[in-house]
Amino acid sequence: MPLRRRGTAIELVHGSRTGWASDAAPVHLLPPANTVSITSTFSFPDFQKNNVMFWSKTASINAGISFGTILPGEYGPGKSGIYLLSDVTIGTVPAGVNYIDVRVNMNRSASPSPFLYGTIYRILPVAQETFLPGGSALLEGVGDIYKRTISIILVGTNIILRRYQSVRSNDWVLPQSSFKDSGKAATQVWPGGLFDSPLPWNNKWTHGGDHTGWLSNEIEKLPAEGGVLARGSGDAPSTADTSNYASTWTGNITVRPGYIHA
Amino acid sequence: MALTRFTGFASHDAVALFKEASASGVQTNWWSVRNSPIRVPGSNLSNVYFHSDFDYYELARPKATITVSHTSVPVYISPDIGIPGLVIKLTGQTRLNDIPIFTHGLGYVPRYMVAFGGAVLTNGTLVQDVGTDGRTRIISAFADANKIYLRELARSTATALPAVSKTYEVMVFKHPTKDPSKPLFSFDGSVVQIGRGAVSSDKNYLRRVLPAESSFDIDRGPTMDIANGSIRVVSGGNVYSEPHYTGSFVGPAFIPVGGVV
Repeated sequence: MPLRRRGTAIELVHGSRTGWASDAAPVHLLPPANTVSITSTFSFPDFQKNNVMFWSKTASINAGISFGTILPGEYGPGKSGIYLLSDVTIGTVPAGVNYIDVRVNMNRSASPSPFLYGTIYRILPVAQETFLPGGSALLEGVGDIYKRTISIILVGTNIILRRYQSVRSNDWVLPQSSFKDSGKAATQVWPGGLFDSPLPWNNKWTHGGDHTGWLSNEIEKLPAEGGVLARGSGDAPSTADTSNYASTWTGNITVRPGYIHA
Repeated sequence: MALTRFTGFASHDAVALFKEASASGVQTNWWSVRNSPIRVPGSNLSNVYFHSDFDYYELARPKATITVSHTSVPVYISPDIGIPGLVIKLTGQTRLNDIPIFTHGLGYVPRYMVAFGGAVLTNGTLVQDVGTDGRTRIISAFADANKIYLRELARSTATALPAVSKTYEVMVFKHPTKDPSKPLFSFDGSVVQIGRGAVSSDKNYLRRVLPAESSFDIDRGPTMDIANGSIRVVSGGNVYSEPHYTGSFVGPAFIPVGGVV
């Protein structure tokens, strides 16, 4: 029997094989006219930052270097203050829809600064049609130091875009023993006067108030200088960090609504 | 009494299996309230069990099982980037690589799914994770009008990321189109079709798995979480976590599917 009834379901049978059955369809996708096509632009903010500095001094060397650092933190919906990334409603589906097939075709229109001299790769295929199972996508990241993701989900009849970014916790950006006075916050800035007595300022790292960041970018390198290159001195490397790790993504999000019977 | 009916309306080019919205009205009248599910299925979703306007993930090509030999990523140690008296070197390199794995040749960008480890490959799945020093291989999939690709992001450290072979299943789905030369419903002695080819007994469709069938899974919600700069991906109950992930994400509900040949 090529077409048969099984309870309230119908089956299409071809030879010994059930080709299709109405209760076996995992998802009923609504017609193309119900497809929601959204041009979307969304951004991720720059990270919280700090910096570290090293003064290299011997009888024949007087050099300094400073690096920007990015600080640990979890950003996303439900967070507070600077860590809050609010949900964005990007469209709606008919009432009763309980599944969405999500495809994106996106590009990164504003890139973050290089991270330790390297480009931050776009993990999401760019300018290509990409299926997002569950509506989730890993957009970019640096190793296991930071990640950025999105989730496109249904909340009622609203299609919601959620953004997340996460920077890994890091007790010490460099070994604690390598810092001036083991990194005590109160003793990171040279107060003037002698630089090497009673506690040397040279050949030590100092931080700008937070020792938990990850080296992210060189701010200034002074390979051969005069003067005192300790933090707080007018001769020291700059701590003006011009990096910007914000990124912006632009493109098309295609949502095909569907229904899944229990 | 509201009935469950399998019926069609040729003048409106629609066939459906549905539970009537009410018991009132004439069954043969398209505009009857009881026929709302076939007339406006999007507003009566829980009553519709089949509709010829819906899409049922018909396979455009037979499912393909493909083993990819992912190559190693060599060690990299940078030149000194420090200053006199302070040596600073960067270790490791990252490689981004697009790998074509299947030619569908449809001439349009199709819907597709790539399965890995018994579940649909999510965008950013960790397929290789070596040690705790950050050597990883992360995979996404994408399509163009001719092929299916994997995007691979692979990273070495002061130690190489070794080569590895992984197996993927690729399914490509047709853009459904009705064949106006076919009737609303027909059987030619071999093949039965409904809705001018909307579904046909000689085609292959994604479907819920039957007992004893092998399966992969369709996820019904977000499949990834990040915490502590690291990712956890959960698809079909399969969990892939980077070593430094500190969250508690358990993943979404999922539907086991199979029956694909």
